[in-house]
Amino acid sequence: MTLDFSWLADPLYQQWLLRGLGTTILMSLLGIVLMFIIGIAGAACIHFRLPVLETLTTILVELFRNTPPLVQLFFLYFMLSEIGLTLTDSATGRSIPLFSGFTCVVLSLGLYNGAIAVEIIRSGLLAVPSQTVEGARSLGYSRLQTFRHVELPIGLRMSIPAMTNNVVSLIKTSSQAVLVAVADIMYGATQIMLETFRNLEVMILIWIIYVVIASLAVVAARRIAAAVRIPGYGM
Amino acid sequence: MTSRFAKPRFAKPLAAISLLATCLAFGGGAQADQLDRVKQRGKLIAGIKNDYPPFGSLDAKGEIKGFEIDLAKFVAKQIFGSDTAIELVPVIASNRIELLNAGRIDVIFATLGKNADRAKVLDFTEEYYKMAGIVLLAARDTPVKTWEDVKGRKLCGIQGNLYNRTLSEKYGAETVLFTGTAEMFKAFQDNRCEGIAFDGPILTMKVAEDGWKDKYRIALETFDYIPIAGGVRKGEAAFLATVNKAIIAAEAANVLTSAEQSFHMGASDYVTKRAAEAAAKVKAN
Repeated sequence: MTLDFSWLADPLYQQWLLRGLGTTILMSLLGIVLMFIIGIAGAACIHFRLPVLETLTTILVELFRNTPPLVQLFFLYFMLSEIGLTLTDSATGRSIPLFSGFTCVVLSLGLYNGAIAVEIIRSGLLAVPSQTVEGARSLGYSRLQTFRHVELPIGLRMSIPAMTNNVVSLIKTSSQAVLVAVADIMYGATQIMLETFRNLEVMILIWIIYVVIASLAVVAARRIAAAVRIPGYGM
Repeated sequence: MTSRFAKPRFAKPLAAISLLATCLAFGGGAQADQLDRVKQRGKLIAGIKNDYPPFGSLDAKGEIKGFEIDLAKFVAKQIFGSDTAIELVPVIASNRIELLNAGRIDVIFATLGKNADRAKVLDFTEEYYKMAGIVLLAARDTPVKTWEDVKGRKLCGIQGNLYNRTLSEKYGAETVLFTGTAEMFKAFQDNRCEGIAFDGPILTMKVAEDGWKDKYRIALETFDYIPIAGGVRKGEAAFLATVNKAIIAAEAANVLTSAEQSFHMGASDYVTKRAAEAAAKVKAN
């Protein structure tokens, strides 16, 4: 068995792979931002036991956490326009779907991993010692101030290891973008495999690329964890 | 101490590597004749389409029917004497060659276009159809008049189609490619693309459907015709010869000309001519 990587010299393939890589990274970054927004907002709703919002968040978390991300993506991509979420294209006057494929992928990543992030951050908040919270309260911090300045900072630090897993899972899940025709790295790879039939070689390359991206994310998370470490807190 | 632990520590990876090596050796070395294997199994495993009328699609009862299904069943009948000695495995354009070469299927009858690149990785059987390589389905009022006009426009298609590269490289279209035809049609109806650039027969069928015929039309005819053939794994001469013989027998027995009629494909000169030639060939033997 010989490996042939000569297809890598084709400028068109390089362009597909580089653009795809850019799309994958951009989708993942936007997905991570959305995931954190959803995660923190959701965890706060549950933590403060906000009426209505707490129940709503719990239902949404269960809904998005317990359904396959691909089903959610297909729902966003194919079904939303059916329910009428469309806008009118000014150039042609036709009604086009509100969300492009790219937006759908970012949304599905944000929602799926965001639902998991809600639980992760909530567990981090629960791990903040009650004495610390009571101490803050006795110093005159309001509930919101305690959350903002004490519980959330410590809770987020506590949740870094679990959150790293979630971020890595998000990056890997982004590869399903190929199924809604978003030209990510997997899309480029599929095209190259179909043209060159060098499936093994292309898969090896894709494998390495995903390992590198995910490893970089893990390293970044470790750096962040080290930088925000509370000396003497054992984290 | 170290020596005591060193052995079990290396033994496991070593065992794993040798197991892998054995697998590779067997995978590459097991060269039992494909024809013998198929005969021993007692059935033919054919990769077909199930989302691609008129070549292979599910009917109202959930059975797979189509031009290539009739052909595949006839080939099975030629080999085993029964058209039920067949397993139909639905494949898509982007996985059919991989499935063939991985040994999951014996033969591809799935609108496989013949070209030189593919001939490097599989052996083509006799050709049995000639297909309009690519046509453009678009709205009735589309401004597109020639293939040059598709530049910069979003066109839906299928991953693995031969002409995707030509479309984007030569004509500058922005291709939006899906894995299945259902997704492609849905995305087009949602106006995610301005047209569908795909194989002629299926789009011609689609545009005649209710809900499609008053809104869309075939805006551009093909710039290329492509012969359709079956595919088998490389270097299986005996199996290839058997399948080829069966295909010619199918043509001679007018299986394909009648399939064209029963699946409303219109009688093409190509299939009719091949049927006549095949009949002459069979008579000569």
